[in-house]
Amino acid sequence: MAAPRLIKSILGRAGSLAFWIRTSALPRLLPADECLSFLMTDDVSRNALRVAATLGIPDLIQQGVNDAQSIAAAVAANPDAVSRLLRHLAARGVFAVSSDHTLRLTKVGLLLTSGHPSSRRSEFDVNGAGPRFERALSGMLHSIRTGESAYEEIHGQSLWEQMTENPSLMDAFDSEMEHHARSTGAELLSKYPWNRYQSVADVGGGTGALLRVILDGNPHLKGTVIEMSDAVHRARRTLSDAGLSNRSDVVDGSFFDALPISADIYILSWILHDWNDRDAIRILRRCREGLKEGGRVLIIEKLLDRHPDTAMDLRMLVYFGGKERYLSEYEDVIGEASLALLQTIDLANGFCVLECGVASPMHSPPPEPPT
Amino acid sequence: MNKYPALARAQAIPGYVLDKLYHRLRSPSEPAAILKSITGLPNLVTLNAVRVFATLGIADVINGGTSDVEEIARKVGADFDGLSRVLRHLVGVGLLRYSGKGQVELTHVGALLIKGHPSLSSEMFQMDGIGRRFDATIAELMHSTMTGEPAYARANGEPLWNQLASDAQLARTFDIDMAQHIGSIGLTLAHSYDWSAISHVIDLGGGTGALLSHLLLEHRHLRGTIVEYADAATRARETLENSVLGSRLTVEEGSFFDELPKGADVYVLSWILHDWPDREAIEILKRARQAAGEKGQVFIIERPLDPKNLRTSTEDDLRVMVFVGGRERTLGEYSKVLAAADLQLHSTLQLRGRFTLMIARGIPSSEQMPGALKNVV
Repeated sequence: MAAPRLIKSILGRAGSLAFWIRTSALPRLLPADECLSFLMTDDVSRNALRVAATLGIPDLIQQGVNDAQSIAAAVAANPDAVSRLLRHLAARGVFAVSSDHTLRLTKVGLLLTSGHPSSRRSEFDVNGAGPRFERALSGMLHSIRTGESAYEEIHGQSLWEQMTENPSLMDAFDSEMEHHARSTGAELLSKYPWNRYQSVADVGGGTGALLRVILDGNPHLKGTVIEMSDAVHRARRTLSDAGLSNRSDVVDGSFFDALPISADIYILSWILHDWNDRDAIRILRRCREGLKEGGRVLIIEKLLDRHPDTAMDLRMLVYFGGKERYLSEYEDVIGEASLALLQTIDLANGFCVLECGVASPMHSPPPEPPT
Repeated sequence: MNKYPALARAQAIPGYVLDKLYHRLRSPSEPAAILKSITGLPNLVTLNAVRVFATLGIADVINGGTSDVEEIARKVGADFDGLSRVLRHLVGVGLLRYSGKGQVELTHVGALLIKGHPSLSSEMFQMDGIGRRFDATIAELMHSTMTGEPAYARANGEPLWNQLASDAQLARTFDIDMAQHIGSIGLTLAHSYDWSAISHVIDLGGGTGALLSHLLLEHRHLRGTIVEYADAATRARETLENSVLGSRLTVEEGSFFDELPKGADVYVLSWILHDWPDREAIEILKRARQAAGEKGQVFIIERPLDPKNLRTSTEDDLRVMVFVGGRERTLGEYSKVLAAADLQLHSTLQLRGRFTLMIARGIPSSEQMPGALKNVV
């Protein structure tokens, strides 16, 4: 009788232990970056962080505006609401409260200042992509009934359309992609034999962050970012800022049309999971058609085999009508585009590089008769 | 930097693993608690996946003998690919199990979502229920921060209380949600206080009677009355129509901003005051004080903020701010609003899950005007 009760009481306490771990232990144990991502998993903290970052509260604290009243006055917000917002973020380890009730930035709060070298402030923009994606998730029923994205159903426009009209949305989206490009690029540099090739094109390469890393590490390479018209100037800026203008280019083009330039390597980084199989095959075909002799297509994605991230899969469905795939499913779309998977390279950040070459035709044409 | 390699390794654990660990640690043993832990952490993907599952009535289809995913999709009118991916996710979180290729069966957690299950989970997770409205509201935290005003109307078209009055389906899920929170403390309340000297309890804003039902079932000598606003009173009557408590539990239409029925021994305000700013909270307390007179007591059930351990309630505080313009208070702050309504905090009692019972009594007139009274006597 006593034993089950004891177990029950321990289990009962496990809840509060978990709460303590979540709210107290983890913020202290985790590196600031992870801590911020962890806070994003709770809806109140996520939105509180967004409000603080959008209003520039961490910057204010850094400049010495460090009590709730002055902060509320500086951002013209409601003083009571601001003090409650700050109280919550202090309780979650984003700020620390001194004995005189002034606020200091913790290592987590510092990441939300504009001047921090790896500042994540723009990711937390209330008007950015995050809140829109979250709203789109409430349209999941539509996606399950139709098999299509729910983004348009909820917002009246697709994300791509919204980005064209709303530069700040594109900024927020780009900065997330840049985060990804940075973490992928460095490792890709050492794990792939770039010295065998002369030219590389990042298809849908966004701000050019990934290409910049690759060109930086390979002085012999020439590179191109292929992007839609409105994104072109941003990639151009990234590359010229890095002093790479002389061996890089940014070309306007869609990966659903014939690619504007031919290259030894086409990179499709975090692109295919945005699309359903039919569109993914179309994109891969355009790449195969543009590839130089002996060229390669590098698909960079997470594989469901390694990371059964079914939540990400549903996000892709609801946001874009896309999908996360198993390796075998990638092999299917690769094969449909007359490409062949040559090897897979696992990266430490969980992504996998699928290296593809042109499939040798199953029945090679008969040799030309000698003349 | 690498002085503590174990720590460095621990720090490399990605967030989602910690999330899993967190779920595992919470690992409750009852299905209802498991479902709560799955959907309680507002992971919007899982939450909406469970809503899709409930809204399409998939648990009922499976329970009716269909286990083939393709056939389920046909029966509920869903896209096969989309549905199989939602179900795959729900296998991962433990609502379903694969029983063969393309075949699923319900786990004991998934079975909670069969229509008519006493937990009412299926109704709670309907897509057009209160949950999705609250998700949309919390995203408007910026509005509340700038103005100090609630943001429910901004997110959903009209204020919460108005929408509840006009949307029966919404109100139903709201009632269930409240009843589940409050019902859980009803039983604890029944056993942590000596009710022998009490005969009549009035629950102000008592919803569909979750709290009083528990109390009256445990203490047969008690009589209870729910005071609720127009539409909520109707809902309470409907809910209690076939209650075993019969005439012991009645519903009276009224508002806690107006005069209240007098003469009860206890007036309960359970999870009410945190919905209101100080001014309104004091008004409500004054009405309760008037009705309770000198002998009656006011029982306030809330989760007070602990100034020494803010981690616990600041989240609720921002929620009530955004939803309805309310606030969570410390015990000290409760004492202040009580005093402003001529009430005095007499004692507090820890209930379960951070809920605290605050017992308040009217400040006797002798203490209010000691000099004047002495002269009269």
